[in-house]
Amino acid sequence: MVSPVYLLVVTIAAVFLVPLADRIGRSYGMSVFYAAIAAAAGLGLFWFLSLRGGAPAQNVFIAGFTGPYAIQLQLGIAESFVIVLVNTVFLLASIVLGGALIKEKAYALTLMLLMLTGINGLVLSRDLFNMFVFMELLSISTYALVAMPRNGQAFSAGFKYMIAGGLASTFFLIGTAFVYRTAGTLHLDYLLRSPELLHGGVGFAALFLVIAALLIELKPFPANGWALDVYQAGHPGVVSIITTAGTGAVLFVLYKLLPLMSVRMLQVLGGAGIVTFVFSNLVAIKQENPGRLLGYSSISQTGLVIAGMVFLRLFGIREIAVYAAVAGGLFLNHLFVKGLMFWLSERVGPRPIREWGVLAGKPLLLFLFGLAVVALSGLPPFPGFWAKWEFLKLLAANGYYPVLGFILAGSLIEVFYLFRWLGYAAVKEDHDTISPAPAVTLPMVAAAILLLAASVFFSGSLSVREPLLRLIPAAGILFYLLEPLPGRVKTVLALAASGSAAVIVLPGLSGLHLVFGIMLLGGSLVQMIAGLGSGGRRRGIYPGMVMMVYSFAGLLVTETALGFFFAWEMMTLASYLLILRGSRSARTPLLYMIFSTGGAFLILAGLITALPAGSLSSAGLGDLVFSGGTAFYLIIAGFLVKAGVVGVHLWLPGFYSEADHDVSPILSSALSKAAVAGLFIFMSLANGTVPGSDMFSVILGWIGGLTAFFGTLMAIYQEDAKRLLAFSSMGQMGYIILAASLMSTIGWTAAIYIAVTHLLFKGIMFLSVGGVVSRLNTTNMYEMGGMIKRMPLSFMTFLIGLIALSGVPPLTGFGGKWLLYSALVGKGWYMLTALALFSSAVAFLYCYRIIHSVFLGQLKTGFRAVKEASVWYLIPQFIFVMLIMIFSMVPRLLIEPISAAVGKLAGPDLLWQGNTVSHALGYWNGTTVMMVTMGVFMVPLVWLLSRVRSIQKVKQFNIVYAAERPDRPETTHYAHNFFAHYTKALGFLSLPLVRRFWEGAGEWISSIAAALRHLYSGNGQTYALQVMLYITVLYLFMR
Amino acid sequence: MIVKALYIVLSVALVTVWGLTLTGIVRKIVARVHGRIGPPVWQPFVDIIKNNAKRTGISHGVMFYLGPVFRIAGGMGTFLFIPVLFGSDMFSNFSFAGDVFLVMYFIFFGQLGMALGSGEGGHPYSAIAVARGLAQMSAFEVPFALSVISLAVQYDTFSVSSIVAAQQGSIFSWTMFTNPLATIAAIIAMLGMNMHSPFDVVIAPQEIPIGPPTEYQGSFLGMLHTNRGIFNGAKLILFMNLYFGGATTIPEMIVKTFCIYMISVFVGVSFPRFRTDQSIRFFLGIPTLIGVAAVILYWL
Repeated sequence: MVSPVYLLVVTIAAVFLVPLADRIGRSYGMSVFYAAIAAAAGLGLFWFLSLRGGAPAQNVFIAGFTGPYAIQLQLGIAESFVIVLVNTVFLLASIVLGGALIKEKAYALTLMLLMLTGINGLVLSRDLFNMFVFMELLSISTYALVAMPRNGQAFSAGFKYMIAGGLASTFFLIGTAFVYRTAGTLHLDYLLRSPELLHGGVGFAALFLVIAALLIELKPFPANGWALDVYQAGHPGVVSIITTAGTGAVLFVLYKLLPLMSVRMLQVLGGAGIVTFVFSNLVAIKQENPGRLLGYSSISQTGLVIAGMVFLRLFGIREIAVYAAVAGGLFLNHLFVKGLMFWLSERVGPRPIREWGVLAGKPLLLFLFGLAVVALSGLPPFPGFWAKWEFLKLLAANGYYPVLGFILAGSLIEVFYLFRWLGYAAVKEDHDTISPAPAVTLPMVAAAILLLAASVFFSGSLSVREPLLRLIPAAGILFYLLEPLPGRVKTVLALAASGSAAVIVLPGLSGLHLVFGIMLLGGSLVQMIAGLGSGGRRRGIYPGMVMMVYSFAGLLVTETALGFFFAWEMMTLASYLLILRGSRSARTPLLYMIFSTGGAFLILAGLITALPAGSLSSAGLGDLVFSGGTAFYLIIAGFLVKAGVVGVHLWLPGFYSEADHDVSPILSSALSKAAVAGLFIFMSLANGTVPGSDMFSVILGWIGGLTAFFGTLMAIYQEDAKRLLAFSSMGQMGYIILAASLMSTIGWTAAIYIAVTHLLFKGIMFLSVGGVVSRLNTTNMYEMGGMIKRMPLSFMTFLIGLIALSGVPPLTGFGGKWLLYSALVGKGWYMLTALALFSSAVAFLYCYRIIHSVFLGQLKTGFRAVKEASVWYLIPQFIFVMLIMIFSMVPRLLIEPISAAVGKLAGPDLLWQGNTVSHALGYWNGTTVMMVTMGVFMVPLVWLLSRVRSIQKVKQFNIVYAAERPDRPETTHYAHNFFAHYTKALGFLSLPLVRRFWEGAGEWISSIAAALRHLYSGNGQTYALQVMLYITVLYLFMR
Repeated sequence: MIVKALYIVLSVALVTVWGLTLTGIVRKIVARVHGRIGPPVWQPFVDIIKNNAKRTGISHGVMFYLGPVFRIAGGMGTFLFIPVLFGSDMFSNFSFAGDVFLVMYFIFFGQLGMALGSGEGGHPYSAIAVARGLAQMSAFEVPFALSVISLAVQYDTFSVSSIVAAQQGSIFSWTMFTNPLATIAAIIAMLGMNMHSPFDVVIAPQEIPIGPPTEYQGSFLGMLHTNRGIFNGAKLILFMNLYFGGATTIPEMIVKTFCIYMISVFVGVSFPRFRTDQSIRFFLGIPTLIGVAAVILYWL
C-alpha cells in the first residue's frame, strides 16, 4: 500500500510546481493544481477500498526519529474514510472555484493546495504539535482565501477570522505546551496508553485548552459571529471548503482526542454541541441571505456531529462502525449537501432567499436543491436519516430523553426554514433567469450522485427481507427521469407501476393490513385513472404519486420499526411534492411539512422509546415494548397530527384542497387513511399492554368527537368547493378516530367501515368537483350554479356520494352511523353520541350547500357552453358508485370481512341473521331498507309519470318571482354566505383560535430568534470577547 | 308476501287519511283562533284532487321532477319503518328492518330530496328556505337526539317496538311519566320539526311564499300535499311510540296523535315567529340542557 506520506507530498510538491507551470501558461498551472487534488482524492479512495478489503492500518514515522519524538502519521479505516470524503469535496469545490481562481495569480492556487495539505495533515497526524502546525497551515491559507473577493466585507471577514483563529491557535499551543510539561509527550498513542499522565489541575487545564481551541475552530454557538461573517462574505466555493473539508478535519481531530476526556468533559462538550445545533437553527429562521443562512445551518450540523460522537463515547461505545454510522453519516450528509447548496448559491448569485424563484424554471437545479433540502432535513433515504435514527435510538436507550427532545425540536426548526426556502424556489415564478454554468452544475450533480450512492450504502440497515422499501425512492427517481414524457403516458406508466405493487403486495397481507392495503392501494389506483383526463406534460406529479403509492405498500408490508418509519417519512415527502406542485401559495406546502414532520418526530420518539433494550435496527414492530405507556402515547399523538385532529388541523384544508384536481381526491380519500392505518396497526400491537388505557380511550374519543364537530362546522362556512370537501374530510376523520377510540369490536368495525365508505364517497365527490372545476376554472361555489344542466353525469355521481356521506338510508353512509351510535351507546358514551349526532346533522348543511351552489340554482351566462367533465374523471367515480350501490344493497359484504379482520376485542360481537345485523341494543337490515326505499320511490314515480303527460319545459328565468322577471343569474343564485344565520347564532364556535394560537407560537419563536441575532454585532472585538467568555464558561462547566 | 303487501297498503292508506284529516282539523282550529271561519275539514283532500287534476305541469329539470317523489318516498319510508300498533301484525310495517336510528335518518331522505328538487327550480326563495330549514333542523336535532339516547339508556334498546313494549301496563309506565325530562326535550324538538310558529321561518308565508315548494304546482304540489299527511302522521306515531305508550288500537292511536299534535298547534297559535338564528340559539339552550339532564339522570 502507498505510504500516507505521499498524500502530503503530492500537495506540497504541487505547491512548488504550480508557480513554475504557471510561468509556462495559465492552463498548465491549473492542470497541475487539479492533478494534485485529483491524485489526493484518488489516493484516499484507493486507501479506503484496500482498508475495507482487510489491509492493515499503517503507521508511518518520519523526521528521522522513532516515537515518542517522531512525527507520526496514522492511516486506518477511519482516516481513509475522512480523507476520501474531504478530498473529493475539495476537488469538486475547486472545480466550482475554477472561474474565480483563473482570474487570480498563481498564489491563490498554492494557497488552496496548502489548505488541502493542512486538512490532510490534521486527519493523519497523531501528534499534538504536528496538529498545531497543520491547523496553522489550514487557518492561514483560509484567511487569505476568504479575502479573495477583495471587497470590504471580505477583508473584514477575513480579519475577524484571523482574530478568532489566532485565539484558538494560541490556546491550542499553550495547551500543547502544558501537555508536554505534565505528560512528557505529545503523542496521542502514548497519552492514550497512559491517560494518568495528564493528571492534576495542570493536566486538566492542558487538555481543556486543547479541546476549547478545537471547539472554537468548530464555531460553537454563540461564539461564532466571526464565522458567520466569513460565510456571508467569502466566495461560496471557498466557504464550502471551510465548512465541509476544513470542519471535517477539525472534527476528526476532536474524535481522536475523545478517549482522553473525562465523563464531565464529554457531557459538557455534548451539551455545547446540542446548544449549537438548536440555537443556530433557531437564529437561522430570521435569515434572508443564503450564504449566512447556510452558515447557520452548517454550524448547527457541526454541533450535531460533535454531539453525535461525544455522546457515543459517553455511552462507552468503542466500535468504529457505530461512529461511522452516526457521526460519519451525519458528517457525510452535511458534507455533500452543504457543498451542493453553497455551489448552488454561487449559481443563483447574490439574491436573498425570497428571490430564489429563478430556480422554478430550471428543473435540474430545482431537483438538486430539493434533494439537498430533503437530505439536510434528515429525511429518508439520505444518510442523515439513518444516522439520526441510530443516534436517537442510542440516546433513548441510555435515557437521554431531554437531549433527544432538543434534537427533534432543533430538527423541526431546521425543516421549517429549509422547506420555506424550497417553497420560495419552487412556487414563486420569477422572470429573470440565470445563465448556464456547467463548471458549477457538474460538481453539484456529482455531489448529488455521491449522496445518493451513500444513501444506498447506508440503507443497509433496512431489513434485507423488505426490498419493497428500497423501491420507494427508486420509483421516485425513475419517474423523475421519465418527466419529459407526455402526461398521459406517465399516467399509464404510474398505473402500471402502482398496479404491480398492489398485485405483489396484497396477496401477502391479511387481517387489518389487507383491509387497509385494499383501501390505500386500490383507492389510489382507481383515482389515478383521472390523470388521463388532463393533457400536457404534467411535470412534478408522478414522481410524488408513485412514491406515495409505494410508501403505502411499504407501510403495510414492513415488519420492522425502522422500515415503518422509513416508509412513513417517504410518504410524507411524496405527498409534500404533490402539494408543492399543485398549490398556488407557498404557505400550504410549508404548513403541511411542518405539521407532518412534527407528527413524524412524535412517532419517531415513540418508536425508539419502545424499542426493546439492546435491539438492532431490524427490531420488529412486534418486539416493541409499550408497557411504559409514554412511547405508545407519543406514537398515537403523531398519527393524530397526521390525521389533522382539531388543534393541529391548520395544514389540513389547504393540503386536501389545493393540489391538482386529480390529485386532491387521492390525498383526501386515500392518504388520509394512512394515518388511520397507522393508528390501527399500533393500537392492535399495544392492545392490552398499555397502562391507563381507559383514560386514553376517553381522551381519544373526545378528540375524535370534537374533530368531527369542528371539521363539520367549519365546512359549512366555506365558499371554496374543494376547501369545503377538505373540512368535510376532517369531520369524517373525527368519526373514524371516535369509533376507533372505543377499543371494542363494534367500534373498530364502525371505524373501518366509515373509513372505507369515506374513501368511496369522498373520492367521488372530489373527482366530481374536480371535473367541474377543471371546466370552470374557479373553485368559488357562488360563481358556479346550474351545472346539473351541463354536467348531469357528474351531478349524478356527486348526488350518490353526497347521500352516502350524509348517512341517509339506504346508502352505505347509514351503516357507518348506525354502527357508530351502536358502539357509542353500548360503551356508555352518551354525550359523545349526542355530539356525533349533532355533527352529522350539521353535515347536512354543507352537503346541501355544495350540491346546490354547484349543481342546482341558476346557470351562469358564461358557463352555458361548458361540456360534461372528462370521461377519465367519470370512470373512477362510476367504479366507486358501483361499489357503494353493492355495499348498500348487501351491507354484509362489507361489514363481515371488516369485523373478521378486526377480530375479537372488548364488547359484544355483531350477530348476523340473514341480512339483518344486530347487537344487544339494536338491529338493521340494509337489504330490506334498500328494497323498501326502492318500492316507495317507484310507486309515486310511476304515478307521476302516468299523471303528468304534458310536461312543459320552461326557460331559465321563468319562475314565480314576486311579479318581477329576473334577468341575471348572479342576482338570482342564492349561494354566497349561505348560512349567514348560522354565523350569527354560533359564529363564536368557529373563531380562528387555533390559527391564532399557532401563529402566536410562531411569532414567539421568531422573536426569540430575532433577539438572539443581536449577539452578532459584526464587531471583531465583540467577537473576540465572546470567544474568551465562551471559553471561560466552558471551563467553569467542565471543571 | 302478498298479505304483507296488502297490510302495507292498508297501513299507508290509514295514515294518509288520518294525517290529512288532522291537517284539516288544525287549519280549522287555527282559523278560529285567528277569528276566521276557515276551510272545511276535508279541504286537504279537495286540494289534492284539484292539484292532480291539472292538465299541465311545469318542470325545471329532472331533479325538480324527482323532488316530490323523493319527498313522498321519504314520508312513506319513514312511516313504514315505524310500528303503528303495538302487538298488531297487520300494522307492524317494516319495523323489523331497523331501529330508532334508522327512522331518525330516514326522516332526512325526503327532506334532502325535496331540497334538491326545489334547488333545481332555481328560485332563490327555495334555497333561502332550505338554508333556514337545515339550520333549524341541525339545532332541534340536538335535544331530540339526547332524548332518544336517554330512552336507549332507560330501556336498554334501540328498537321502537321494544320501547313500546316496555311502556305497557299502566299509564304510569309511559315514558312521559318514567322519563319526563326526555319527553319535554323531545316535545320541544317536535315543535321545530312540525314547523309551526314560532319555528315557521322556513316556510314564512308573508316573506318567502311557502319556502321550498314555491315553484311546485299541479301533480307535483298534489304529491307534496299528500306527503304532508303521511309524514305528519309518521312523526306523530313515532312520538306516540317513544313517549306516550304507543297504541294497541286505531282509535287509541287517533286520540293520542291528535293530542300530541295539539301541543304544536297551541304553541303555534300563541307565539310569534323566531328568526333562524334565534331558533338555533333557542334549541341549543334550555331544551339541550333538559336533554343532557335526561341522559345524566338515567346514566347515574
